[in-house]
Amino acid sequence: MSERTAPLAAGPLAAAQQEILKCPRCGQCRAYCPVFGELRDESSVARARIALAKALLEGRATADADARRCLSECTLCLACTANCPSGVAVEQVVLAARAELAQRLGVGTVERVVLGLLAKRDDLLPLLTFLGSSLQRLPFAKLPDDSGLRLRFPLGGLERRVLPALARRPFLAGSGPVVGQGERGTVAYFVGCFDNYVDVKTGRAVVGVLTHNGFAVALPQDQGCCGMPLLANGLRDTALPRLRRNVDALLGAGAGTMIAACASCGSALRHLYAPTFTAVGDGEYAEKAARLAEHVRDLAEFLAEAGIRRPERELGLRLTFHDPCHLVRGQGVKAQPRELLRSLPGVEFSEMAESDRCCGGAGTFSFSHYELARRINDRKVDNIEATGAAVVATECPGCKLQLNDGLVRRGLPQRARQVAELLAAAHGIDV
Amino acid sequence: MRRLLGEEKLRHRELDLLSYSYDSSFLTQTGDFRPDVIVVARSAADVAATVRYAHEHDVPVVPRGAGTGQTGGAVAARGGIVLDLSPLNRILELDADNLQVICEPGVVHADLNAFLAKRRLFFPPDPGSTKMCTVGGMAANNSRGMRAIKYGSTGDYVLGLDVILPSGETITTGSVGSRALQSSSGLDLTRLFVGSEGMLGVITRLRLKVLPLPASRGLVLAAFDVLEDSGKAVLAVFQAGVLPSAIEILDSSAIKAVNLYKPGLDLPAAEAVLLFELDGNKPGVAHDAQRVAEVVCQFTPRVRWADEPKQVAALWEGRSVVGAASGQVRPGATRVYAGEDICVPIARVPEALRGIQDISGKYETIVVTYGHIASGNLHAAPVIDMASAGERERVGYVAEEIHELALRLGGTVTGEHGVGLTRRAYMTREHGPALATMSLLKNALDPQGIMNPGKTFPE
Repeated sequence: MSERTAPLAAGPLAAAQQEILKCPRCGQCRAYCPVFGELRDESSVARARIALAKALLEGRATADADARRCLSECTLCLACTANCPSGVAVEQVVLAARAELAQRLGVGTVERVVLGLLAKRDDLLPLLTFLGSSLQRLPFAKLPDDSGLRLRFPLGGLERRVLPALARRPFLAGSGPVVGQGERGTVAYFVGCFDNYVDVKTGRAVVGVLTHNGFAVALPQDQGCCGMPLLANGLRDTALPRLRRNVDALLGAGAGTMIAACASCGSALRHLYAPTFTAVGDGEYAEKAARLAEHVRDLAEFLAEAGIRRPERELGLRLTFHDPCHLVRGQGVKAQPRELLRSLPGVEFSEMAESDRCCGGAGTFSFSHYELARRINDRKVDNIEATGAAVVATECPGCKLQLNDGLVRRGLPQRARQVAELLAAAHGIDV
Repeated sequence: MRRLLGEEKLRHRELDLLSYSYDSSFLTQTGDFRPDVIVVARSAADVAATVRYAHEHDVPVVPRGAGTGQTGGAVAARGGIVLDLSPLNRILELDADNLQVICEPGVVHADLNAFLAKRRLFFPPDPGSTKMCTVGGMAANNSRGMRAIKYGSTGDYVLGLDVILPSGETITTGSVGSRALQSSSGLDLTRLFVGSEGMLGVITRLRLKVLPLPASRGLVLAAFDVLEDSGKAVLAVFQAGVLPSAIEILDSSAIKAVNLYKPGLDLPAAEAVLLFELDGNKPGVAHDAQRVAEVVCQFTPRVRWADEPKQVAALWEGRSVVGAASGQVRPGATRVYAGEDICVPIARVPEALRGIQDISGKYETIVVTYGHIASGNLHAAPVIDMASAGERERVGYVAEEIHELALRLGGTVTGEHGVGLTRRAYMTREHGPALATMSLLKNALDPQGIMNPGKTFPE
């Protein structure tokens, strides 16, 4: 299926025209793009995606499977944007181009159904999660440790993929609207899909650590998927109602600060919502989203700045830290998680090489492009192994999943943990 | 070609042709330079097979490294085959005892120097595109960079080349099997191929001279209220017997750009800022930096110097971000590469800078200018709104007048980036009858005209 059209005057791509025209094709992105680093093909680097977007905009290129592949082979890691001499926001162009192609070519059935559920029918997800949790015991074998499950039988693109166990019950289903007393004030916690439906222990750790440190935690019940998986797959219009509900839920929580412990959720709330509403001409929500963005903080960023109580327990661990792309470049948070981790009793911190290089996780990318994601991850695993650390801390459940997949696949004993889990352990909080 | 190379080395889908139709020149952003097919070379044998095919079928071949050039040199002006050499990126041998390294053309410059630095060696040419440009492209364009005043050009470090001629035959220049650091044997074919922009053959292997890595670096920063004084200061430093490793100039437009981009750097408001870099052993660097500061103080009291790495890095940051800064002086606009590489006599650099400012005013186009004043090489960076047809047209005139200015001042239209497609029009004027001799050489080696046709020679 393909479509070649006259130059576009409107549509998602037209809104990104200014960014597209800023790129002079200098090629600096060749030095930073993790996908190009593996494929070494000019069509797999940021400037090629921009050139394609421009050609699509001008009616000089065909919207076809090749165009979709070129645009889909981007982890949205922001490394090109952060190092672009011309200041091109490459991810905005890629997202706009994906939305354009989704409109012109449609999206795959799996993406449409799964992501549509996240956006429109998240009322069904608790039931589906329960069923999934029960049924996944059948085709999946449990690993010797608690890091996840491995597929017993080859299935589509998920061969040997380490997957975590689904929760029997979503995190939010068992939570009240506000937890804790909050002598230091109230914060709202944006949970995110992963910690809500899968890794509920991390969700509990986040709440436990915040309350232990004197903050009441509001848990807005109408929050849902942050929308990043939808936007990343070109489903902007499908995402919009969900985004609006999140904005209203968080702004209505009566908290001064909104906490995210998932880098991608935090980055989306801070930097994607307002431009997305602006791009579709929704001024009211663009303004609300801009207001919300000012109050969003990453958990580690917030706690490092607010200060934590002295932890009671010795962890006795050598740690390293993997910077999630959407934390270090998406939110400019680098020093704070390290400060927190270094302050924990019994922690020896060992910095890894290329700590801010993408791990290949990138949300749905690691499922749709598993082999490519695995190759990118191999370099990360090498760097983790070289530190001699027993645990690699991170601040994104997607990164955690991808890092554990690489570590398990390589037969290494190290495991990835989120900062909240380590803080909870140091505070002696049972999750 | 499928039979010769295998499908996996060929790219011919619409997306591939688009992806190889540009470099960073303004020209390739506004025209269509798609090839018919791309060969992704995995070995010198692939290159030879491709060139032989082109020879037999009379098809153009365009060698390409990372495609970071600024002249359209690595795009197909007349269709045909683009030969992607960037996968040939192995460092084949370091002969440290004989101060040379053997490598393939696709090795990225920064990767080579990272490899060499571990052995306390370095490959001195230092282009701004170090992180992505390839040594093959550097040789083909005879690149230089900031340290040319002390260390010279890429050509000064190329000891020998393996070249596949347009006939498909392979030759080794610089004496077969030689590891000598110099030679006066025969015609210097190495020098002929260096800077030939892929018009005479394809480089598949380079033997490069390397040098011991200097142990220390120092920096002197000076701000001038009168532009002409900066030129006088450079000459005075030379007359004092000091040879810095680099002398960089930012004119008022570049100072403004840097301060807008990174206000924390707080470069002094001035008509020009000069940065002198000294390298060598630590006591020597400190001595030379002090000496430069003393000499420059005759022209301006606003002088600072440092030889501690952190302080040096802080002073150098203004220069290191100017390329990025220039593109961001005007929100929504972009820096384009046109008229970006003139080189004028050192003594006429201030005149050239004023001339560029006049051209900028005449065409109401922001031009940020910085460069290597010690060698007279200036990088003018026009900043335009690419969506404006009027501005796109005007920048063509800006580039033309900047090139004319260089020739009028006794300079050249390109100091280190090459001619490619963008500067062909000036070749007759710049070279006179010598251009015909160049053409004779080209025809002798490539009578069919298959090697990178349409470049350098005016149509």
